[in-house]
Order: sequence, then structure tokens, then C-alpha cells
Amino acid sequence: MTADDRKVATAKHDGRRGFFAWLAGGRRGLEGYLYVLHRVSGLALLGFLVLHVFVTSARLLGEETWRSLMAVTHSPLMMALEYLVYAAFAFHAINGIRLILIELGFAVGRPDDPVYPYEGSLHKQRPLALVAMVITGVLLLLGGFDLLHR
Amino acid sequence: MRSMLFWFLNIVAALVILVLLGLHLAEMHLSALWQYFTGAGPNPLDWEQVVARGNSTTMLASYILLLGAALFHGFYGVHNILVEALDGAKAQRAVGVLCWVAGLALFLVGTFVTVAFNGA
Repeated sequence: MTADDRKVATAKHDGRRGFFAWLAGGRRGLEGYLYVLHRVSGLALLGFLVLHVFVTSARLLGEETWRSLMAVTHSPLMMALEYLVYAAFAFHAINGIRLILIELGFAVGRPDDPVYPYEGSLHKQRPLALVAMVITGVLLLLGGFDLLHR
Repeated sequence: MRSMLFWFLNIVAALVILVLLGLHLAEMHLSALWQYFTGAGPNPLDWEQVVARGNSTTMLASYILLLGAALFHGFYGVHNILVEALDGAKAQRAVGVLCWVAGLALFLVGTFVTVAFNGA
């Protein structure tokens, strides 16, 4: 193998596809999409947290400022955005619990030969992912119910 | 060793956020549902309620704990994403420093506001 061949091989297999890999769909499994959604929702929540820290600082400016700020947050657009933040939290939290369970070894199944179809993935991790998404769906419905009954 | 400690703290922070942010969201942003279970009460975003929470030491401690946990967890995630995307040890170290600086700055701002309002 020449030096150029090595360079090409390394570039192809160094695993650094960056953010574009998030957008690649194709034959990714359910957990692959959850991985992307987890990161996107996490970034959105961090962005909201930064905004939230500064917006809630307005209470230092007194009652009038607070009341006028709260009046803005009651517009339909802001309520829809508030629901999106809630949805991001609900998904990120439930999927995060799933990830912690897997990371700590509770939901990976017994060690087995790595022969396709992988038993642990099929009978442990996939059902866990589905249960997590059903719980997320229920939380999203509860949030929607709240939004409609304010 | 340090990366393992951060990984562990990240999981602890996630659990703290799960409880505290779950309660915060339920009370502040799911008020109709919250009051369905706890009984009708005043709007938690009313000025009087904000002042009452601001003067509670328990709320002060929980806000600061939640802020610290959320910033650590969030910037740990951002750091991991950027380190995965960036090549080169220098760039990765710079990302680490930037995440710490941004996280600490936001923590100081949030803590200052919470403590200053508590004494107001």
C-alpha cells in the first residue's frame, strides 16, 4: 500500500463524518434516529436554557417589567414554542433514561456471540426503545391536553 | 480518570435534572394538569408567586442546583458533539476550555440573579 492509498483509507474510515452524518438516513435503525433526535433536542434545550436564564433575570427589574414580559409569553406563538420545549424535554428525558439503562448494562442482554440477527438488540434494546417512545407519546399528549385547557 | 469522573457526573446531573426540571416544568408549564391533581391555585407566573418562590431558601437551593446540573449536562453534551466533529488535539482542548468558560459564566449570571432576587 502506498502512502496515498493509506491516506485515502484513513480518510474513508476515520469515523469523523461530522454533523452531516446526522442527516444521513438510509438504512439506519430506530435507535439511530433516536440518537440524532437526542442530540438535536439536547442542543435545543441548552439554547432555551441560555435564553431562559436571561429572560427570567427580568424579575430583578421589578413587577412592571415582569408583567409585560409575561404578557408576551401568552401569545399563541410563544405557547406553541413552549410546547416544543416541553416536547424536547419529554423526549430527551425518556430517551436519556433508556440510554442510562443501556450504558449501565441493564438492558443489553447476556453476552452472546455477535451473530446476526443480534439477540440483545432484537429482544432487549428494540423493545426498550419502543416502550420509551410510547411513554414519550403519552407525555406529549398530556402536554397537549394542558395546552388546550389553560 | 478525569473523563470517567465527568461521565459519572453527567449521569448524576441527568438524574438531578430529571427530578427538578420535571417538577419545574409540571408546575410552571403544565399548570392546568398540575392543578388538576393538586387542586386549583394561583397562576405560578403571577408576580406574587414569583416573589414568594424567590424568598424561599429551598427554592433558591433547588434553582441553583438545577442550573448547575443543567449547564454541566448541556455543555458536556456540546463538548462531546464538537470533539467528535473536530480533528486535532488543540481544537478539542480549545472546545473544552470554551465549554467551561461559557458554562461557568452562565452559572454565575443565573446564581447572581437568583441570590439577588432572594434578598430583594
